[in-house]
Amino acid sequence: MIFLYVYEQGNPPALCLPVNPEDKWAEFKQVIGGLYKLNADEAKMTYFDEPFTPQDDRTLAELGIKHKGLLKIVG
Amino acid sequence: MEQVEKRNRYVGLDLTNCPESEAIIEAVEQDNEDVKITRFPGYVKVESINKLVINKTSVEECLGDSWETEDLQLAVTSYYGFMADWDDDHIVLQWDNV
Amino acid sequence: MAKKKRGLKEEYNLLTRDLDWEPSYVPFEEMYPYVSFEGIKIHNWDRWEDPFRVTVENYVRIQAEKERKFHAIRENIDMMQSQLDLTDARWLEAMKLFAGVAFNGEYNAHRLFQYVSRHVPIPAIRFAAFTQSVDELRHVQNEVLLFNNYNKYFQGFHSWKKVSHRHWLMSVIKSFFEDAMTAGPFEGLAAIAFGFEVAFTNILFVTMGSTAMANNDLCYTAVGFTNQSDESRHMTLGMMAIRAMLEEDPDNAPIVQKWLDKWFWRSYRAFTAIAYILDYVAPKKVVSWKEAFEMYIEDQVLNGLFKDLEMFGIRKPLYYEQAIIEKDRISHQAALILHRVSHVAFFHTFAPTAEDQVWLEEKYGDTWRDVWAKKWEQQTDPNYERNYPGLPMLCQTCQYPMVFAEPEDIHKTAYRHSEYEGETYHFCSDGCKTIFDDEPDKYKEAWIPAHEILSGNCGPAEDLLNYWGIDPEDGGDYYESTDYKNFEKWKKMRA
Repeated sequence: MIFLYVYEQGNPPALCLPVNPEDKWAEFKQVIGGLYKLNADEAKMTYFDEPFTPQDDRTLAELGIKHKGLLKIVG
Repeated sequence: MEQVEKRNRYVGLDLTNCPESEAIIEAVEQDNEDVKITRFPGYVKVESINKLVINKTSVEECLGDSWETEDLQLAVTSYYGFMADWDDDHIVLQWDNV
Repeated sequence: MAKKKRGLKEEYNLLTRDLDWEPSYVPFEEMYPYVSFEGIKIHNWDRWEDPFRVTVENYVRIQAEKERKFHAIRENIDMMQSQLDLTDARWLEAMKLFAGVAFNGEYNAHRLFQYVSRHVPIPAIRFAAFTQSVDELRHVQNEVLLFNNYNKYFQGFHSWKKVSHRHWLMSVIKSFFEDAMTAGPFEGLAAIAFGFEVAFTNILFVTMGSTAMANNDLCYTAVGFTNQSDESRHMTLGMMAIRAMLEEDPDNAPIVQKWLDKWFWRSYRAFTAIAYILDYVAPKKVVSWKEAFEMYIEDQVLNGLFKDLEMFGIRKPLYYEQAIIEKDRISHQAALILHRVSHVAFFHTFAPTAEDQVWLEEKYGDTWRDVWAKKWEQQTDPNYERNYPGLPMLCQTCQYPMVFAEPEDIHKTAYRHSEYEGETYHFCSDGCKTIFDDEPDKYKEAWIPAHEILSGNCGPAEDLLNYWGIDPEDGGDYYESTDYKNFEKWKKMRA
């Protein structure tokens, strides 16, 4: 388990979520979709302040997400 | 932050509401120039620019009773400025860098 | 002929300062083992005097008089059912926070000043620190005794000890004092005597005491004023300590500057809760956070004190400009998040009423209309999910939820981070990041509640309220609470 912080712009503070880095994005996007009532496929995101383009079949680790990383939903 | 530095530099005391405080305020007004008094629920702020002196004899006159300078501790809830002198006759509160 | 009474100065020198002795059968360094590692150089330990000239005799006499006054009021409070005179029981939500924050804070301050008194070899400072340690113990004992009265009638006061040690939000203040207590004796002194007492406790005891009085809270008024009457001595200790360090050796200036930078920011952040109390919780409001900050911090500390310290090569504390920018913000940022976490709090929260909003607009003008009123509108929409859906991200240094905005952009949440030994650490501000970067080995060890809860170190998730010392009824919305309903009912019965 690692911690991932998820921040929705304009809605602080970020959530501290326990996640399995081996989970596929397809599973994880359901979680944030539910928490923030949004369609994760349409949301624009950054990892810290770098552009972040997820793919459903890749794991969080493969997408470069690390322990205590910060995922921002910016639009 | 020029805005902050342009303001007057006061020294002052926050005194809790009690008869001794009223006597101290009166004495301070009498013995200092440009004294500013601001009242809040429960306490009074008494301030003067750069320096403020409290004389024992003036407080005693205003209080109509004897008063020791160390009794200020019973009335003062806060202050600002350095305690430049505190002896049996008077208390001096001031900024040094003026 | 009767002997002439000794003057204050002579009395003080003979009965306090000159009672110190030179060690003869152990070396000085062995008697004061922590005296040199912080790098502070003192050449003449004896020349420092406490301007208050406190001797055991006058300390005991004056403190006894304060205690006599305080307990007379306290007994009256119990007898007169004075809790029914409150403007509204909502004020007590502030007192619950105070109990969680201050009781343990005062006790830790007592411990810290024991440590300072033992280890700083300046006789004047040792004695002043000793009296302060006794004062702090008096404060916590009086507070506990007095608040026992509120505990008979209201929720949220029953487990202050558990709450102050374990509640996720209380780690803000617990870590603050533990940070000071685990520093060297000179830094501990600069931290609490100067950073905390000289600058910020005024707002806690004077401004908040005054607000308590306006809300007919005799309990806090009595506690606030009796405590604060000791604080002027504590402030003097803080100023004496800083001046002693700066005047003794120019090499001390950079060390002291770093402590002033750190503890200004640490204290300022810790006081966010007080900003919330002044601007939101108080049913009848007296002075806003912004006004209190301008009065006590800008005028008295930054423009007053720091200008005097310039003579010793000291500049204003780092990031003070950001604290000034934030004076329009922090009470609102705190209120908005607290509103969302009342289900995991030991106090009730609420959205500002129409009456509150009129006052907030008057005090905060454009920022209120353009930013905060809109946020509240959004947050009180029936479709908005009020309860925060998990654990908030916390700053590694101050441990507040990460809600603070970029200094230059009020709409953009500030994020800072550092990498240390392969791990990422997050901060709410430049101030908190700078503090971490200077002592990463200390702050990497911080006990961050969100992480500890998720790691299972606070027991099973479904039993967290019990772990924190909270009954489910302690939290929730104030206007739906038993406290509110009881207060309305009791007031009617009395009328």
